[in-house]
Amino acid sequence: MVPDTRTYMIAGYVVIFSGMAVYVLSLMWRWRRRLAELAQVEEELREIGKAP
Amino acid sequence: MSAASRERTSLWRATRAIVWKDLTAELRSRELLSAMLVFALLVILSFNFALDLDPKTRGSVTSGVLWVTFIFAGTLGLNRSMAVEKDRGCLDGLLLAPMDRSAIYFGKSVANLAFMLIVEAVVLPLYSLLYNVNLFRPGLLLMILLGSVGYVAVGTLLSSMAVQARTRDMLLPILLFPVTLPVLIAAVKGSAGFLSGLPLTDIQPWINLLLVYDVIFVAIAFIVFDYVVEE
Amino acid sequence: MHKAPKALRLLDGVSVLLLVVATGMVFLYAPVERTMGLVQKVFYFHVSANWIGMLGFLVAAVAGGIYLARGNRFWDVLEVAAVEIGLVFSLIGIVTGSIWARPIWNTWWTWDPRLVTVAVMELIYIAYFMLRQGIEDPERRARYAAVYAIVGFLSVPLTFLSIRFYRSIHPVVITSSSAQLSPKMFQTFMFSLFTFTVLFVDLLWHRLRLGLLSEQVERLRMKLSE
Repeated sequence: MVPDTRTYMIAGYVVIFSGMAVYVLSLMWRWRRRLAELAQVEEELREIGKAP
Repeated sequence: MSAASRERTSLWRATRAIVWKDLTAELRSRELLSAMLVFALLVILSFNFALDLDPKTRGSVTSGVLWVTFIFAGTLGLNRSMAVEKDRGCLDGLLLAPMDRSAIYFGKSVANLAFMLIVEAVVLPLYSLLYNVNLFRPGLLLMILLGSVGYVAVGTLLSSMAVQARTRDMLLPILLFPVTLPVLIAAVKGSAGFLSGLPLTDIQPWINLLLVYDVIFVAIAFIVFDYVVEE
Repeated sequence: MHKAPKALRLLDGVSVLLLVVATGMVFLYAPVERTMGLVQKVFYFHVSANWIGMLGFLVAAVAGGIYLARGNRFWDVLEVAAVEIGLVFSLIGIVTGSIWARPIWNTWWTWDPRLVTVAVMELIYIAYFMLRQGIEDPERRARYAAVYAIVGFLSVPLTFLSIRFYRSIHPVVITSSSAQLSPKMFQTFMFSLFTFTVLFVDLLWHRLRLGLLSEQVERLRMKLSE
C-alpha cells in the first residue's frame, strides 16, 4: 500500500519553484535599480563636465 | 648600519622573535591569560549546572565539556591577541620589518597556541579535582595538542581578518566555528575514546582526521597569509 | 545598451526548456516510488539543488584563488555571484530535505551527514557575507573574502567525513537515500542534475553581469566625489 504523501510533494515543489522565482525576480529588480543608478550617476557626471 | 643587519632575518629567527615578544608581553601584563582562565572556569561552572554533571552522566560528557571550554577560551584569546596587535599599531611595525611575512603568521600562531595550551594545562587538573576523574592520559593530551594546533592555525588566520572589521568580536566566532567543526568533532570523539579506554584502532580515525586537518590548514594559512596582510 | 548578449538569452531559453522537460519527467515519466509515495519525487530536485550549492562553493573557491593570484576584480565579482547562488540553492535543498524527511521518518530534521554538511556550508556562506559587510575597503574586502571562500570550501569535505564517521558509531534510524533507482528514475535524476547545472551557469552569468554593473556604478560614483 503506497502511502499518500501528496501534500508533502506539493509543498516541496512549491518551495523549489517559488524559491527560484523569488531569486530570479530579485535579480531582475536589482538589475533595474542599478541601471537607474547608473543613468543618474552618468547624468550627474555630465552636469559637472566629467562625462565618462 | 652594517650590511649584515640589513639582510632579511630568517624565518625561524623572526618567528622566534615574535613568539618571544608575545610571551614576554603577556608575562608582564597577564591580562590575556587571566581573562582566558577566568572565562574557562566560568564555562565549566555553567556546564556544571546546565548539564547536571552527576557521576553517572559525567563520563559521557566530560570530553564535550572540556572541548567547548577550550574552544570558547581559545576564541577569546585569538580575538584579544590580534586586537592588541592592531590597536597598538604593532602590526604595521611588523609589516615594515625586513622579514618573511609568514613569520608573523607562525609567530602569532605559536604564541596563541602557547596561551591555549597554558589554559588547558590549568583546566585539566582543575577538572580532575572537581570531578574526581583522572584526565592525565597520554592519549587525551595528544588529542588536546592536535586539536589546539588545528584550531589555532585557522583561528590565527581568521582573526587577522576579523580584527579589521568593526564587528570584530562577534565576527571571529561566526567565521571560525563552522570551519573548525571537524576539529571539534574529531577532538571530542578522540578524547572521549581515550578517556573511556577504547582500543587505539577505534580512535585512530579521529587522530588521522585531526592530523589531515592540521596539515592542510597550516599549509593553506601559510600560503594565504601574505594576501591578508599586504597593504 | 546593457541588453543581455545573445548567447545569454539563448541560454535563458535553454534553461527554461530543460526545466520544463525535467519537471515533466519527474511527474510523468518517473514511476511513483512504492515505500515513500509521491513525496519521493521531491528527491530529484532536492539533490540537484544541493548539488548547485556545492558547485557554487567550488566555483567561488576557484574564483577566489584566481583573484588572489591575479588581482583582477572580475574574479571577485564572480566569486560573490557563485556564493549567492549557492546560498539560495543550498537553502532550497535544506528545506526540501526537511519536507522529504517529515512524512518518511516522522521528523523535520535528520542528522544525516549530507544534510548537516550542507547546513554547515550554508552557515559558512552566511559568514562569508557577514565578513564582506564588515570590511569597508573594497580591495581588502575582496582579498579577505577570497581567503575565506577558499578556507571555507576546504573545510567542507573534512566536515562531511567527520560527521559521517561520527554517525557510523551512533547509527540512528536514517538509512542512505540512495536506494536503488529504477532505470527511469535514474534517467530522471541525471537529467535533473544536468538541468540544474545549466540553470546554475545561466543564473551565474546573470548575477555576474549584475555585479559588474554594480562595480561600474561604484567606479563612476567615486569619480563623482573626486
